[in-house]
Amino acid sequence: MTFEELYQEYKDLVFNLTLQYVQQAEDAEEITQDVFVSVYQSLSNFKHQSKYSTWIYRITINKSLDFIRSRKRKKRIAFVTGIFFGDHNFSQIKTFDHPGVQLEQKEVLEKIFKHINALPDRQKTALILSKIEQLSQQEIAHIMNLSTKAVESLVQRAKNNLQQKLDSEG
Amino acid sequence: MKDHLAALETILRVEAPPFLFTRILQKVQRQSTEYVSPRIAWAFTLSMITLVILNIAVVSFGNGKPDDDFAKYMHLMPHNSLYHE
Repeated sequence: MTFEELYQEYKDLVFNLTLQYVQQAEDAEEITQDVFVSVYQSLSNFKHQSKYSTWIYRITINKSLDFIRSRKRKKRIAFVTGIFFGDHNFSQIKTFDHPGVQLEQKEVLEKIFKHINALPDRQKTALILSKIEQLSQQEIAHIMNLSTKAVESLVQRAKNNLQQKLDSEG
Repeated sequence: MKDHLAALETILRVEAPPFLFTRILQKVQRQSTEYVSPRIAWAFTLSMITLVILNIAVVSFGNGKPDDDFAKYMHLMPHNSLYHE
């Protein structure tokens, strides 16, 4: 499979998955670019031990989590800089802008995503893959390199954590 | 809780933005021109290490005095006066 064929087949999958992590079209586009640059660079080393889709899912998840970590780090640095030098750029936090969310669901989903974003990385990934991407537990287990039992437990813990946070908000 | 999770299932699939492929190819090209091959990186590192070792050797083992005959021949006087007085 050539790089262009891979791109045509998986571009929407990658873009939609990154959107579930960052809820920002602009950021999702940046991550999608990074994912395909990575795919381009390692395509010749791909050993066909897993399916292309599994491989691309893994790269997308890692790139999305890296992007979120780097964004958090930048925010922390900007916050500290703001304290010492009076620069308040850190307050320019991007708002929720998920193009797949319908207007009538926006308020509810913004609240849910706020809590999903606060979940530990593995719980977040298991929940996104299962509840939004609608993958089977077996597929998630393969992507995350875990047993199906472990995936089941991660999804359950993610649901419980979400439940607790949403209940406490009332 | 069931209602909240049901809301997650209403999220629509969207299409990747147009011209993304062109931007990816540009990024790939930019990265390949910025790329330094490992051979060049190793050659540079080895040269720097050699230079540092030579400097340390000169500072540690050299006697610090210029060769007298050579200094006389080249009129390199071992004092700081400007003119031969």
